[in-house]
Amino acid sequence: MSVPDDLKYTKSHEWVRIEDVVVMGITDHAQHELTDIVYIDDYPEIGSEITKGSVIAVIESVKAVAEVYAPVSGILKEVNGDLENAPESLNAAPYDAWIAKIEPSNQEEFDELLSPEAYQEALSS
Amino acid sequence: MDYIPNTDEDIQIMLKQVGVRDLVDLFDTVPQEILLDDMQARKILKSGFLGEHGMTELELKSMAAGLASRNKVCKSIFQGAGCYWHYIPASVDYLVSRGEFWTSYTPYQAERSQGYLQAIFEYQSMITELTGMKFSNASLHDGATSLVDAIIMAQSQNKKRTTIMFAGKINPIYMTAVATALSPRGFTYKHVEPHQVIDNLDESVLAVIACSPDFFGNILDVEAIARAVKERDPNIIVIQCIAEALSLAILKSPGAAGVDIAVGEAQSLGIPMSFGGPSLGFLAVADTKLLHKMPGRIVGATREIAGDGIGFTLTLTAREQHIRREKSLSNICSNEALNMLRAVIHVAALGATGLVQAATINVKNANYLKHQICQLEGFTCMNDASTFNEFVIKVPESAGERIAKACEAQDLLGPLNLGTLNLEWKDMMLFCTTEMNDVASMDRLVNICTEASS
Repeated sequence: MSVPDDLKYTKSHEWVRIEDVVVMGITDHAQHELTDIVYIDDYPEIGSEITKGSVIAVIESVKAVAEVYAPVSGILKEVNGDLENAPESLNAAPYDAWIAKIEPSNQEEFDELLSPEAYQEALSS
Repeated sequence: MDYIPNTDEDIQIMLKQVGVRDLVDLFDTVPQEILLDDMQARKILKSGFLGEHGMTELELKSMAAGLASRNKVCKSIFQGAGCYWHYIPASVDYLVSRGEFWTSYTPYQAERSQGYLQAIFEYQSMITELTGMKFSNASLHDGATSLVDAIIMAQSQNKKRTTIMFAGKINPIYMTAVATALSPRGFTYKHVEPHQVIDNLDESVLAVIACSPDFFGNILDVEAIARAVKERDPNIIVIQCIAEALSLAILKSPGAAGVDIAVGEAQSLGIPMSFGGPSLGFLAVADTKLLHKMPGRIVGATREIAGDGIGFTLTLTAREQHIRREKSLSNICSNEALNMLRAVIHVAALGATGLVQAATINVKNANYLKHQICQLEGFTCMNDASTFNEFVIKVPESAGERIAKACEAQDLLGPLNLGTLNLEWKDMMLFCTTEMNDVASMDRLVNICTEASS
């Protein structure tokens, strides 16, 4: 299972890239567990305030439905509109297929994110 | 499948496990006023409904026949109001009685029942063709609960809005179902005349429900309503609620009118009136976004891996209640399979031409009767639009009761006295005609009205 070195992770299988904003998606492990993803929606409104751990999207696969959780608190700036017509890219390239961009409101929360090593360890335990 | 009843021993084990004394105690949460008294209940639970010694087949049949003879069978029915008297071709009853089809639900291990899945697929195709919408589900319980589910779907698109606006007259029974099922959601319901929709729109409006044909039989210009609403605010979901599915054969389709969701009652398509149910609800949507919020089953067609055959399969199941659980929008996890099958066979038996002809006769008969009755002194038509197979007449004061009595004496089921549903509708009667009402019976009803007014 691919766990790139340059990203941060959550226990609920989201990846996080900290740029000017926080870019996030679901990990390779998550997409593999879900199997073929067919739909993603139920985003909060763009510009709304979200808290860490709240639901920011719902993913449907052929077998299951899963919630995607906000890795940090902040303002939802953007969601990836391309996924509406190509949800399968979450399977094909999970680390390119970002889901949401969040303007973080509390940088201290970054410390709570997992390092690649810690996430890898969580996966194997 | 064999029916294997629980033995007394099984029952005792289960009762002990849940910690109640006997079956009467098990049901003690049922309100007292609807329960048989304790003695009666214990007697029935002990020895069954047929008494301690049971009944012979002959005794049982004659008891049932005695009960059935207390029913009044009318020669002609002039009442609709959500449940309609239509001719059902003999092929419908014959084909649905085949053993392969005897189930009320989508079959378990659905894909093993390719024939049933194909029937559902055909039903979906028929509904999309009749409604002009893109996607239909495998059917729902009835028109009222379909409307409930359509409103829940609308809410999924816009969680902050709370006003539901009805244009045209909604069936009061539908309104009760909506208000009951959705009571925890805090909606506000507004009822407006079709031409007042635009003036009443504001930021709080979640959905506009165009009722057409509506409870009074009126045919609305749904296209004009949908266009005006979408021009003002494309986020408002426009729902068309169709009281009589047969009307779809000749009226502009909801799809062509530009609505987002079409729902309604399809009892008219091959399902007997049966004391008012069970019936058949249909629900169809215009786009993919709403498709993913649609309740119930959807059957898809796919190509077989080996060969060129077509196979049928349940599809988009991740929307469904058994996967989404508490996150699901609806509690619907099956469909009204047997009645859906009746509708498929009925529509196929009539064909496109037959449906159009049947619908046309409905309109002609209704127009004939409406014209005759409107000529009577003191009888006024309350419809301000064209009507399908129902219309509303204001009758002279308290003539309604006399009409009902005279109809009963002549074995007719007369028009519905609307004053019993709503005081604002005092002295108004809802008439219905279908292809089943011949001219002679309509003329008898006109005579009854004439006599009732004098």
